[in-house]
Amino acid sequence: MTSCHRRTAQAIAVDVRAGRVSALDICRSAIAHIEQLGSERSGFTRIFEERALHRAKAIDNTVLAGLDPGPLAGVPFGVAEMFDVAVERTMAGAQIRSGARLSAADAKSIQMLERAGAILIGTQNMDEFGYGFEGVNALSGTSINPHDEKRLAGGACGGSAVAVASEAVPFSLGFDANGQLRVPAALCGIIGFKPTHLDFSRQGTYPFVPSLDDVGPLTRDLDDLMLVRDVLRDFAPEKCAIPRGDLRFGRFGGWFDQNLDVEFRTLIQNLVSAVGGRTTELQHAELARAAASLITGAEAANLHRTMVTRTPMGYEPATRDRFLAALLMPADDYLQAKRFQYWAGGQAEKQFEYNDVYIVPAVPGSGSAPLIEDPTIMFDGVVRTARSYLGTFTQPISLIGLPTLVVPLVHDGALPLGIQLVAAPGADALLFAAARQLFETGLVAVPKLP
Amino acid sequence: MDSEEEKSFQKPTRSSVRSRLAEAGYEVPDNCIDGIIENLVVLQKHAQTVRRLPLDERHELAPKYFP
Repeated sequence: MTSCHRRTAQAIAVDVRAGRVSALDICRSAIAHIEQLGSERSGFTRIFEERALHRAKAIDNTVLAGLDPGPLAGVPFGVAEMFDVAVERTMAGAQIRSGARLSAADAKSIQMLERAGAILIGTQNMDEFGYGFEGVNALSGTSINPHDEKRLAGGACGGSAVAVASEAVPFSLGFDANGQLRVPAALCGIIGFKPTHLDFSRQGTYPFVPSLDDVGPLTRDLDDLMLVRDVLRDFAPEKCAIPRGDLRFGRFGGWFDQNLDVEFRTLIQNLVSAVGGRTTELQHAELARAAASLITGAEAANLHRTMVTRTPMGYEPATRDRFLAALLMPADDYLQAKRFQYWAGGQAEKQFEYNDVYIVPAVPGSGSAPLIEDPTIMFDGVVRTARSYLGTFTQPISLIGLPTLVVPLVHDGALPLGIQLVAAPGADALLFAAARQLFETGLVAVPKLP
Repeated sequence: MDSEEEKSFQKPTRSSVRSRLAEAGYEVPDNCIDGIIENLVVLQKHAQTVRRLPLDERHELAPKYFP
């Protein structure tokens, strides 16, 4: 196995465009790496070898013809099982979909990335239908954290994070309604991006929570992430300007601090102090988390009502019971949560009059990945399931549609710790400016594999 | 408007869940009932939390819903 694919997307594309390395070699190298790691350690559930090699040859022929295959030329990537891939089943991590119709076309985001020269290698593991924060799936197994094999990668897009952290591919595409890509990005020590709600096309993705779902990339490199984002936005102009002076950082304390271990909280406080930030509070964060849970239950259960009531035993028990319970939820509770969501969005916008970017822990407690054998975390002084509680700090942010970038904190411990950088709706560009500042000052960095 | 009082929710029982499922027209195997109860209790707690905030009746629904 070569390691020519274990580089940044930009480095690969530069060499492929210049004809110094072939897209075919890059793809073969990535596929060999994935096969060597196996499914649980690579994050991949299916490899589309014939399709990928065919596409790689086309990229190489384009270069040979003196033409430009695009800014992501020859860059291999994977997608969570939520994305449609032409002539394949969109499994959504669910055994019950093994008889589903084959997809007629690739998801729009895959089409955009491949038009820019990237090459889809395969699909990646996720919690069933996206409902869980562990990265555990009865059909495809458990996504194993590359920083400690005894620990969870997090979920739902655990496979997508593992694939990037293990250097099988430079980037993955995941989805996020409540933290599905932010939680595993944090636990695996990589960068994960949830855009302003609906900034990227969701066309051709299997829905989970229609009013919260978003698509987003995971990478090891900030410039790679910005390039992938440009491609997914079709190089549309930014919706906000970067301030000329220093960025104003803030930190959400209050409810978030109450469920953070002292060590993790101190690390975040030190980082915020280093960039001149102050601690403030996200009003009603606890309510936002509760509202997100109600909306998630109601909308997801509604989508599955026919299937889960006809064939309940076809689902994993935890997903099934959540859906069935949510089907009995009073409509009033859902509507109250929706009214709160709208109200909270308006309130949150006011917070950005004082600061450009807020820093929030990605995961409660110690901030690090729970053990596979004991998938629990402490919350409110009680032992809770990681499946439900790992996303407690990501849920309030996405409920109000705020763009969020997860980056790994620099610290002395062995396990990655992620923080969320949060901006106002449409101010996604500020997140990249903020992240650039934190990377350049050495406060955040993608940790090396052990 | 005052905050809605925190009232204790009656915990669902196997019998009440069976009735609610039947009223909604769902037939569910018996071995799902305990899991449904567990999740209903979680949803009740979330509902109780959200009800703590008094929203004015003129606070509209979120305008965007994409079915």
